[in-house]
Amino acid sequence: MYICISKSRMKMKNSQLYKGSLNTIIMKLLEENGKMYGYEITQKVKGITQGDLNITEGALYPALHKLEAEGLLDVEIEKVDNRLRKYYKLTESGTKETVNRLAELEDFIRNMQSLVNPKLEF
Amino acid sequence: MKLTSEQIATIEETLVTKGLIYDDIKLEVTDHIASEIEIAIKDNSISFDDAFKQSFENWNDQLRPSSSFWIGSKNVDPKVVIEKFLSLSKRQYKFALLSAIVFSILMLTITMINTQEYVYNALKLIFSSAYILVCLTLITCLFYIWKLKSQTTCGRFFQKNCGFLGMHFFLIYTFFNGHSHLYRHYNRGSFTRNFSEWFLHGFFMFMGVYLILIAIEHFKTIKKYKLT
Repeated sequence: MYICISKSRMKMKNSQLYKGSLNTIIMKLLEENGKMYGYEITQKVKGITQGDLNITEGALYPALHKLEAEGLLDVEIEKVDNRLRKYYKLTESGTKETVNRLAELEDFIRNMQSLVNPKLEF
Repeated sequence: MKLTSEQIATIEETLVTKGLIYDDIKLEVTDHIASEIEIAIKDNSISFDDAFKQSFENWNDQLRPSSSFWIGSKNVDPKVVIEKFLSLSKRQYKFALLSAIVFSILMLTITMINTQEYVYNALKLIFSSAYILVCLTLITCLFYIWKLKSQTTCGRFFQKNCGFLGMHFFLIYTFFNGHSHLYRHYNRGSFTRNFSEWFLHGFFMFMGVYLILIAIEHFKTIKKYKLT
């Protein structure tokens, strides 16, 4: 399982639903926060979702490396507290791509909302 | 509580014993584990040793020895590294396949429009020269990667794939000397046969071109991470 949902608060049992959105979640966080390191991303997601969504290392790092290889993320190395820290930030093309992917994700959520609960307005 | 240099060194040494020897991934995992330990010590008031054990248990799956058929099942590395190799390998095949298809179609179109022998021979000469240049660049990169000693995932991927160098030279040799590549055979050959001729050589040349890009990535990583 790549993305875990804490069982105590589990309403959505299928983590597969989140898998396709992981890259967009990362890009959105980087757009908001400028630059972030791996552990910080996992804690930020945990904090925003109040512990409902927990991105594991097995999902996070392959996603970050893929986005980096695609040229959407750039890397900065800094020495912090006796160790080197790898910060990720969006490149110029990454910033543009974030806008597209967020629009796609919003469309997806809107469509799902219409299908699952047509009475509610998004 | 911030970890001491000795505690950071303990994390790094443990990662190395688990086979995580590539600096680019090692520094990232070290920082993640160190951050986890710091938070665990602060929030749960536990000792470094307990937090260390807890954190490595979380990473157990990513650090377990793995291999993959696609990158050679003899190659055993931690799962987190194998996943990166797999991603590089997929990209290499995708790049080589697409480039070789475009290249073959282009060569076929040129030789179908200009059927003269000198056109075919000129294309063959240009292609072979480019292929030799790729092979010489691969050898140069291999030498510098070996000389610099720094271990990165890109550097290791490059070294592993340079086993194909012999195949490259064999293909160049056949392209220069093979009877099947003579103009009279090409001119009488079917579309499929001629396409295969360009595609086979093009595919391996573009595999080599991708490896050069990987080697450049290795050198960039060394510079960025100041690994030397």
